[in-house]
Amino acid sequence: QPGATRVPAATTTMELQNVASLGPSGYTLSIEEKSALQVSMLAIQRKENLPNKLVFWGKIMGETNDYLIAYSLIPAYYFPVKRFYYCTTANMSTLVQMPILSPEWKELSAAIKLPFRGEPSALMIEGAEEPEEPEVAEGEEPPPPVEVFREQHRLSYVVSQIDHDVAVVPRGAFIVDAAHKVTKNKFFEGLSYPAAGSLANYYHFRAPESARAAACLEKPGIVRPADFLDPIAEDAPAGVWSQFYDSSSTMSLLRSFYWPGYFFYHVCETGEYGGVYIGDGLANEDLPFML
Amino acid sequence: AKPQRTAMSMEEAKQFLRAEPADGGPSLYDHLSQVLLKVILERPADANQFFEEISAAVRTEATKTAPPPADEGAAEVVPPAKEAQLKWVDTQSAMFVESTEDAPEGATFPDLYREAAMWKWAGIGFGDDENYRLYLALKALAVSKETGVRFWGKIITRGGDYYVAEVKSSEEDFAEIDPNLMEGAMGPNKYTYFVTKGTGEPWTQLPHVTPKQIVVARQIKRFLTGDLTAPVCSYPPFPGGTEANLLRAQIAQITADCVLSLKGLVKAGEEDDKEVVPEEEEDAAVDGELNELSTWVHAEIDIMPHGRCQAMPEKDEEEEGGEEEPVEYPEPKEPCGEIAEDVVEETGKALWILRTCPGGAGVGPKSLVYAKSLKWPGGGSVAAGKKGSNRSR
Repeated sequence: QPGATRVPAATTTMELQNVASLGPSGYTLSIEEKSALQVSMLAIQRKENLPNKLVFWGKIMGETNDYLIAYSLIPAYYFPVKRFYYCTTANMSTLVQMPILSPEWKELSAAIKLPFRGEPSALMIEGAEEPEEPEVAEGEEPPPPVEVFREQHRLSYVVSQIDHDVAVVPRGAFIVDAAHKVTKNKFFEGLSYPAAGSLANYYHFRAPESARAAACLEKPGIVRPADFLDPIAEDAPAGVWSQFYDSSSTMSLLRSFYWPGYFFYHVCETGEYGGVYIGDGLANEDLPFML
Repeated sequence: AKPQRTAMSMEEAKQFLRAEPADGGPSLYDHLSQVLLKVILERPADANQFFEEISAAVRTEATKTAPPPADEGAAEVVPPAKEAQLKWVDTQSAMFVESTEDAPEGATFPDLYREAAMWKWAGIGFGDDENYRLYLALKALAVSKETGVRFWGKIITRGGDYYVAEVKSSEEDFAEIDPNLMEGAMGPNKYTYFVTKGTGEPWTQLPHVTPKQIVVARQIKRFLTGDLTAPVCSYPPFPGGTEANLLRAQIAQITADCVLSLKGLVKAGEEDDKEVVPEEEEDAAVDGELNELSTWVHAEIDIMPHGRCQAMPEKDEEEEGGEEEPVEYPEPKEPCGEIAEDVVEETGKALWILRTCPGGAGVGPKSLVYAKSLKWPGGGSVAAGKKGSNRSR
């Protein structure tokens, strides 16, 4: 006797329509932000011919403006890659791709602990000046502009760090298919209520770093969903993640205390889940003292 | 030796596939036909790519059996989700029952659903459904205490969040208390706070706060655990030890720093004690543009470094014996100070940001302005015209 016809679970990773699920976090997007993002996210997806649609990642607060960030998942051989786009609240209708960083700029970004200013072209090195306009002879193309270390580079670094540290998916949401590619599981039915209460059922959505998980991904043959990703339960110090159910006991919620502002929800026994970061982009370095 | 492979006829092949395995499960033939049936019924877009998953899904469905009927007399095993959800449903339905009596006079509660629209521009919101239930919960609190209630905000903890409601303290609470140890209604204890873990849960009153608690709370940095009776282990040691006291001290500081009003709507009181009072109805008019920092002023008294709002009460000479040196306390700040004057001491950087929403292309005469605090993440105030709303998260 076959089971009842079941519609493949509609998994959502922070579609704009699901902003209402962010209720327990206390944050939401204003109508202006949602409506402008809807336009710009669709524009980027089609203009750049991206295989997957853009998904809202979060918001980083700055002094003059806030940054709104979205990404699209690009399938790649070892692990899918997230391509990030950002815009400021001053100009929400145009998303811009985040710049790629040289290792030197990554180090510089890691050293900055001040809040974001909200101006992507702000110069980040003290005493730096705008590069001079080079002389252009008539009829010649102007040379490409010199890259200087700006806030948009720091933004790119911080977003990639946050995503590396806290982007979470529930067990079984992503699987390794027969072609040995990591893909979204279309038949993801969700975690049961008791399973959703355990941190052991949540994993980092990033190329695996623990030796065990990386080895599982490389070996040929069937890879179980729990094996090829790093579990968040192993993050140190213990207590950096907090899990609790919402008041109606239908959703399981996760919060990170190392990056305060990351909020993840999963509606138990359905394929719905999503995570966003809404915060100031500063890590909580005092974490071990606060627990 | 390799097993001999003889050519099978169609019938023999079918019989081989239909062979039941030793453990009594379905045969390979049955399993394959169920998988194909599932694919035909559900028509997934890329069935080939997900063939293994479909096959695994069919297996788990097959192994799920109905739970055995409960023995007579044995307690029914309730799945934990069901129990928790039913409990929530009960507490929420209780709130929706219409009261037979009129609300007592003096019980005022905020129009949370209207204020929510203003906060949404500031990016703060709980979702419309939850907001309405919160409104019902605040109304219930106001009716039971027969007093005005303001929604103060929400505090995030490691185990669930607290909703906080603010009620004006009554003078009788402080009649018995030594004013040297704790300031009464002219100081940080002007309001009494109630917290709850969820709408429909009972509201717990937080204890009043002492100056020493505020001083230590400023020095320590700890997460709240979500349990009001949890001890606070910190250095320097927190006086009066439980999380309820720490929470109350934090709330006192946030209220003193973040509750704002607009210049022209409030003024300093005329008594000796520092006080902020609303302007008379006729004279009340906003003085200045909303999107300038100088128009926003503090609506609550600042708490000084030693944890009090007002100067220490005069020491009774006879009691003390007159031998102690009077301790120098700093002068209290003038009430109704502009928020433009709140700056980080070392750098002079402002502690408040103003944003207009909608801004950019959508800016118009009805745009609201919200003031965001950089000192207390989540604290802010929204204003449009004369109407304002304060919130802390």
